[in-house]
Amino acid sequence: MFTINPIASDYCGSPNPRTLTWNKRTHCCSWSGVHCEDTTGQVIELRLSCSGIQGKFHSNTSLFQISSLRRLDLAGNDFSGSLISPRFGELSSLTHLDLWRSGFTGVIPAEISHLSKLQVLHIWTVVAYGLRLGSYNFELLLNNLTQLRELDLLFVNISSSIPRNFFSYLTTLGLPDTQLHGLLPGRVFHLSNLEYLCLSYNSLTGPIPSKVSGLQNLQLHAL
Amino acid sequence: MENHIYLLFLLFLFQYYFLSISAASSNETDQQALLAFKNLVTSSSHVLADNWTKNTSFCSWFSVTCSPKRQRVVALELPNMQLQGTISSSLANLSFLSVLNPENNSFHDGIPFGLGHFPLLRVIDVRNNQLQGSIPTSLFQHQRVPKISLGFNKLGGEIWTGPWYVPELRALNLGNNSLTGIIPSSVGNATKLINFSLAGNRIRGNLPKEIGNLSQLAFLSLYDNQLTGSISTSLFNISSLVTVSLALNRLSGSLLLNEGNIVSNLEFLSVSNNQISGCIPSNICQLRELQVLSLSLNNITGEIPRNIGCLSNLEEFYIGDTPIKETIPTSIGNIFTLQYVDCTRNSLEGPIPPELGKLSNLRITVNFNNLSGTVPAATDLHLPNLKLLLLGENQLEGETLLFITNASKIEAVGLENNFLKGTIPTNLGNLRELRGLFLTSNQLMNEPREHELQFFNSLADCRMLRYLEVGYNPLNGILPNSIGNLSSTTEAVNLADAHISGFIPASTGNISGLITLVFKNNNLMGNIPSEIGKLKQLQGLSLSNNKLQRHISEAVCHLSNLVKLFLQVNELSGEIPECIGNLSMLLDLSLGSNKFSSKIPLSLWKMSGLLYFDVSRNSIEGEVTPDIGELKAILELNLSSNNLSGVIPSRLGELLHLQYLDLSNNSFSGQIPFSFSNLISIEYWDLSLYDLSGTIPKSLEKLSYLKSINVSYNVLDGEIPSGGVFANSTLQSFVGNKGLCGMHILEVLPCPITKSGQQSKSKKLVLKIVIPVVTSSFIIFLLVSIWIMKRKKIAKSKDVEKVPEINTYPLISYHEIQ
Repeated sequence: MFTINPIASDYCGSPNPRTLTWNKRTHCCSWSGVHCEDTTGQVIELRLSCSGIQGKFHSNTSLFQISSLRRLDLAGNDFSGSLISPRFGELSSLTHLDLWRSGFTGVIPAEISHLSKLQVLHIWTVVAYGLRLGSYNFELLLNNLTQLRELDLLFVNISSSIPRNFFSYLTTLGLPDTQLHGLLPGRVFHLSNLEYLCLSYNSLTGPIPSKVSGLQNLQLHAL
Repeated sequence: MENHIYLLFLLFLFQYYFLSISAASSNETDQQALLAFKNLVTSSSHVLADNWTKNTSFCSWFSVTCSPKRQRVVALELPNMQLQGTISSSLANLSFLSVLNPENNSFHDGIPFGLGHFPLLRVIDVRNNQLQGSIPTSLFQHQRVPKISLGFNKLGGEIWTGPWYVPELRALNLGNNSLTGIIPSSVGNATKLINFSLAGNRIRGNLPKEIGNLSQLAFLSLYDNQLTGSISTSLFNISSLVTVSLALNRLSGSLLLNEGNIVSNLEFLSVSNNQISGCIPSNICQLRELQVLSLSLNNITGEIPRNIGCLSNLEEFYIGDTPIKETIPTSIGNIFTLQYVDCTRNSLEGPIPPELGKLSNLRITVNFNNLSGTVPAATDLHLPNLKLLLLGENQLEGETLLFITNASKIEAVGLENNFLKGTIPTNLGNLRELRGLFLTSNQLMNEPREHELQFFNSLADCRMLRYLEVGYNPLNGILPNSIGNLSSTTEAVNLADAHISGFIPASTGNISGLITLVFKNNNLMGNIPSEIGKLKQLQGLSLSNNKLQRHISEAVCHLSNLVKLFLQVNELSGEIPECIGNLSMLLDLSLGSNKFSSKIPLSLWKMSGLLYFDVSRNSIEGEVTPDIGELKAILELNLSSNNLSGVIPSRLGELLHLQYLDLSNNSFSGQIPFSFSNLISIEYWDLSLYDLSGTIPKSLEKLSYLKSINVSYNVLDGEIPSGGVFANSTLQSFVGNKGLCGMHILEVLPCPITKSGQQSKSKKLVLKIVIPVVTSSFIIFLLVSIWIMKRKKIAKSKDVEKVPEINTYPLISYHEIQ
């Protein structure tokens, strides 16, 4: 279904063509990039970032049948021109989904917000692919994905304001250049676990609270 | 640390948030930044100069990508454009930049420091430029950057040892720079790293065990550094690893794998050229996907694991230059994928396992070991698929080499320096792939009762042949005309010391690709055939120690690529051809111990590239002309034992590289030229046995490399200088002269100090001579005074001025001393 392009990728250096070593002689749990649950033997992780995989990512791919999947990392492959299938929403056990620079285009389907166990969502694309979030999907996303710890959507056209109420476990919030607008909710500055925050290059307005501990001087400096 | 990061990235937020809403940066800033970048770049194609103009929007400029809505530069991709110049620090104003890729150009100076603070930066690829300076430390704290590729530059300074926090990093390539410092343990934080290269730097310290945390790592390239310590077993627990290259470091300890099952996808493991000790672990079988295993140049002991056959995908196995012992395991024969085995300079013993014969395409090198036993008989070893068999420098025996003739795919056979007997097979023509036959230094012979060397006939069918090395065997025979049928691919023929007699066949000139031809130390006679002149590629011709006669054919002068010409110890006579000076590539010319007469051709002195010239022990006549000063490169010059006469030209002093000079046993006259003190490289010097007169120039003391000088049997006089080489010279160097003197050589009497011009002015001499004179004068004065006072006859005395001269020893020649 896919081919392997062994040529160095712009984003990965030399790809590690893990899937080439997959063969039926050995159990799939020993394949490179595949991790299984110890007790049940079910595949729970597919870590295939930078594997040189190339081709169209179709909705009928058997990958969507692995409902036990908790972690799916397809970053740095080349699915150029493929849409993010609504069937991603069927992988209801997913906690990690990494579609970082993998060539997906079009609308991020609302079904992503069905992944209620999702803790990590990384999607970014090169500008030309024009990946975007459908209207109201951002709010839906933030309302449903209550377990989210990392949200990183670069160059994704969100074109929305940031809802006032959202998840509190966030450690990473990266939404630069995503055409966010409106008022920046003060709640952002009270996320106690936050380690990384980047909302640059948007059209957000509003005050930066003076109660960000110890940072008042730095604000002035940055200006 | 977390708090620190928190603060840092809040700063990020504020900086760009406010920039954004205050509109302090705009697309105008981007245009200015790009134009400033352009101003510092040149290229032969003028691509930027022509294309990046204000007439068009910068978003349409070549290599520039903008974000569609905001019209801000997000990518600047300029690979392979032959650009030169510096990367302008104005790029730090491209605050939306996500991809910066100017790889494969000639940018120099530093990487702009601001880049690491770009929140959108995802790729920085400046590989293969000439960038200097240090790496912006902010890159090691960029939380989102997946690719940092800075390899093949001239970056220096220490690797940042502060906490690395690059959780999204997939590729970190810093190889082939001049980086120093250590690999910090915080490298283990880069848990998504797939490619990691620091090869070709000067990184010190241990391989941190935290590398074992990099669970996605596939390519680890740290070769050619100064790493020490042992290789952590945790490294091999990373199941995604494909390539590990740790060669050329100072790693020590044993190579160990964890007990218990590990899942390994490792295909390439090289730890060669380190100080790894201990045995090869038998559980190396865990690395079941291994294709290349390189352990050479270490202190690995013990034996090659008997179960090495478990590595069923192994293609290349290098264990050379380690003190590994015992026999070659027979299980190697089960690795059907094996293509190359290198066991050079081990301490392997015992026979060659016949199981090797099962392997297709095998190339095996077991040179310099202690293999013994009989070279496998044809019945044991089926070699139809063997490609390379190098077993030189062992203790192999055997009466027949017939087994080779089965190996129809073989490319090279090396059995030199063993104890092989018997004959060289005459049916080698089956070996259509044969490129090298190395059989030197055995006891091999020609077919019995045959006069001509028969094996040459069949070798004519080996059309790939390049090296034929069969010298140092008691072949006994004459060269057949069929030698001329050897393939034109043949580059080297070595038949030195092989009991060959008869003539050099004229057909030798047909081996048109020959680069070296060695027939030295045989009993060849007759003349050097003029057909040799057809060997236009020839760089080395060694015909020394034979009985070759008559003059050197002028055809030799056609060998325009000749670098070395050795014709010494023959019976060659007549003139050295004038045209020999045409051999402009010649570096080494040895014509000694022949019967050359007449003069040295003038053209020879014009050979400004010649390094070694020996024409000693001939009957050369005439004078050495001042043109000898043209031998600008000469290192060793031996004109001894001829009939050369006249003065030694002072231009010899221009040969500044000369290390060895032997002019002895000729009929030179006149003086040792003062210019000789310019021969600053000279180490050995023989001027003995001719008629030089005058003194030894004191300035020769300056020649600091001179280890030996011989001026014996001349008519020199005066003082032997005391410094430099003279300080350690012995009597032997000065015997047989008219009147040499000097204090520093025990057997030689001192020179009279009254003789002006021969007095040493050194302090040593003052102490040795003047002080005793003064002291003794004083004592004599005292004694005389006492004596006078005792006699009370004379009130005043002027005897002090009449103290006897103690320095009037007559000069005695060394002939008389003896």
